[in-house]
Amino acid sequence: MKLGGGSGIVTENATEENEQSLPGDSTLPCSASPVKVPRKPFNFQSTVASRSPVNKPNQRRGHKYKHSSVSMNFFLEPPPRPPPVLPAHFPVPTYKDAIQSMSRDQKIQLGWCSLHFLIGLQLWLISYESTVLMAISHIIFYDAFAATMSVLVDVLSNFEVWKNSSIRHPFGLQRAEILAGFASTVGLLFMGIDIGSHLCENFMKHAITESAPHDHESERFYARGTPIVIILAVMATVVSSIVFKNHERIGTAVQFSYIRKFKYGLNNPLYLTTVCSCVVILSLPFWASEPWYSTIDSMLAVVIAFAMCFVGWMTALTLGRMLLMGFNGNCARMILEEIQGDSDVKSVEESRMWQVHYGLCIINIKLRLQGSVVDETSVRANVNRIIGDVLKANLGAVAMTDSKSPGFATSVNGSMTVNAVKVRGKTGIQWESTIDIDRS
Amino acid sequence: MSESHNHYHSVHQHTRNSSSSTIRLRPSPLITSTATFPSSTPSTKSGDEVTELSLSLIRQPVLLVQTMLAHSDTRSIFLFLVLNFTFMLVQFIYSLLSHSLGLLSDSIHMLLDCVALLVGLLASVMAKWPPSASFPYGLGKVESLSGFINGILLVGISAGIVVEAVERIWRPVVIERVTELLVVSFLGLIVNLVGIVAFNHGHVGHGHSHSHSHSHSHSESSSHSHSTSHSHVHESHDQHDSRSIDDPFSTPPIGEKPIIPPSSTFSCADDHDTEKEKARQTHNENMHGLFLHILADTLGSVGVIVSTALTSYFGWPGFDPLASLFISILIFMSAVPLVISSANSLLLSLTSEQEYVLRDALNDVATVPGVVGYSLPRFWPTGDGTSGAVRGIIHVQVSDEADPAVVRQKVEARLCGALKGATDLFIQVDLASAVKH
Repeated sequence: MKLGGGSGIVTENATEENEQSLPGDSTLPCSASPVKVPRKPFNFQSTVASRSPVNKPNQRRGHKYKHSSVSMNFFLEPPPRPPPVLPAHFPVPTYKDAIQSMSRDQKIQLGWCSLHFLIGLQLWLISYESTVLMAISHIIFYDAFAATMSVLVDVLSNFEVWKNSSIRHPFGLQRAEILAGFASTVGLLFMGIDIGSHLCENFMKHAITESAPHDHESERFYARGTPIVIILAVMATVVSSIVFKNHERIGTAVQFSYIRKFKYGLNNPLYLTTVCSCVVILSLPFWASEPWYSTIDSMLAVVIAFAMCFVGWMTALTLGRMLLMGFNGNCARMILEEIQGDSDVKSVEESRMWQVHYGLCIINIKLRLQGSVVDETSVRANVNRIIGDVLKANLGAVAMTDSKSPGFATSVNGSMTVNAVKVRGKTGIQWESTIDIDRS
Repeated sequence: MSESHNHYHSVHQHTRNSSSSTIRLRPSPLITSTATFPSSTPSTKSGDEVTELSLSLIRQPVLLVQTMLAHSDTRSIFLFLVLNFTFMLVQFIYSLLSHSLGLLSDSIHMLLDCVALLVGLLASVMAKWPPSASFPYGLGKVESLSGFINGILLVGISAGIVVEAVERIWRPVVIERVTELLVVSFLGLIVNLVGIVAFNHGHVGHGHSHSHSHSHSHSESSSHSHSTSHSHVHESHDQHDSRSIDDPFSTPPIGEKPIIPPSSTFSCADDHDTEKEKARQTHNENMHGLFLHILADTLGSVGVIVSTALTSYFGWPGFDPLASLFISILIFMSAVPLVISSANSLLLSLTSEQEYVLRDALNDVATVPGVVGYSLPRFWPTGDGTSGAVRGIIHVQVSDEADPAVVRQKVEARLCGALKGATDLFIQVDLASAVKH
């Protein structure tokens, strides 16, 4: 009964807003159309004496007349609080927006990427007989795509919708980067398989026809301008990997413990294979005779196809795990075991841990506490500490990016639940924990 | 204490009244249990590591085959894979015996097809695996992923065909052994037609019940129209081959649907669950991708037959690359919608109608007595995103005098009431005083 006033205000406000909007709507067609509308005798604007926020039904407590000297206030007025802010809706940038927001540097970088593509195209065009050159050109396409992607991510991460959570896009659009990486990796894998099948086919064709395998030795095996294009290709690969770190971006999955200590891109088998095979082909005239070119070419192509498949498979596994909302099973088990070791925790009812993208893990745990425990805050703090410890100990187990990766340094929504593990200058991984405590 | 409790109670009733004036046709919020998944912790399962599970399946091939034959969709893929592989093997052996190069490259092409089918088959099997520590929500997304892979491959293949066709216009290739080529492509056409019929057969039942549910509810217009036209592809395919590929492209893009008021969502939320389940099965991106793959192969065979006939009749060698160009464009156009829909599913974005409902629900959460505020609401669609259900997490801050357990229950009830099929929600309730540092 007392609180009926609250709901009254809500509905009145709603109707008044409707009324207010009506004259505004009717004036617009009036001015546009020649038909005269009879003038209204009065032009009262309905005014609102006090506009209270809608969603505060429990603010008016106690007596209806708060300042009345007659009545007593039984309940203290709660401190005023701002109405809860709904997460904003961020528009997805259009093509035009993205172009306009690009800085000069970014445009130059994009230009370099297209140059990278062109070099790959040129290499592919002259690779008529050589399977190695065709394979290398495929790798260069992949590299160029990765470099382009890193520029695009750089551009897009200036937009709010990319890194901020909204209702429509609960994890921003950063998963798009994973998706694009996955698509290109599938392409790489497919090209590797394609080259492999090509080699098999050639081999079997020679076996079937029983002709001499070197029947095209009469003309030059490599086209005329080949060395220049190969040098260009090596340069493009090196520059892109230094400037854009495109190998690290996609190939973070392929960081093996035994080659991780190498620097300057040597930790990537693909990069290594590309540069090495280019060097081998360039040096061919110095140590091999023409009849051997085809055989060496095929052997190199086998190595490259293998490297492509290997890198593609490993990367696809890591990225696919993220896309499938997966997590490192061992990490999850360790976290759960340690939490169950907490004396305050009676049982872990449910747990869902998964990695959203390179920089974010979502960890949801539903706990049941021992009956006597009152302080949930300390339990939560303890659980968060456990998660942090386990993640820090197993940093290699979750894919992560370099701290230079754009769109990564900001925390999400400024919430207190965003945590980060930092090791050796790398911003490793952030995680968000939701610890649902069931006391029923 | 008791007074304040009473007080909260009355506030609660009041807010229910006011909210019912703003949100019409809401079914009474039911306090449903959140755990539809097995409630035991994943760590207690023995075979929770996916690789272990797959290894154990591989060690027992009989079990694997039994699993595949148990479900209709995997059965059709498996049988077609066997057929395709047998045909490939026969072709390969014959090519070795007859020293035919054209047959050899065709059999290698078929081997790649078999790989694509195998990926689809594995995806179909894996999608039915239970949740584990490595994949806490199961592998429901794997079918979208497989559809995405197939779509990407089709786009790549069509680009490759274009390049090859341009090259052949530049440098025409004289085709040798014409009769052999014709026989092989005719046999391939038959095999692929069998595949299309097999996939079509698996879809007919679902497609029927599906259009039925479409007439009832309008809440999920996007998925419905999509998969309705999908089944339409299958039906029209028997009559005419080359026309049917236009159909998947004619489906409206995902983003362009009108915002549908939540009332219709609520009005039909209860009694159509089984039909929605069927609709979900029909709208399977994995099957869609495989179907497009087979369709592309069929078109390739048809193209070879038609262009060879035209070439031998008119004597102009340009028909073959022209047919290739035409087919590759068709493949590209049919693959793009698949890539878009599967990418949308993998990005975990909500549809606009889901956003509408969710904003409403969050507004409602803010009115729960004792709630001071909430942060970090993240809600994402389940499975392949067509069932309309969401999962989510939210952190709620409560005032000091409120009972966190009570608030938690009320928040959960409201969210479950508003978001039909909000399966597992994680709600962290913090005291507002503890949050402020």
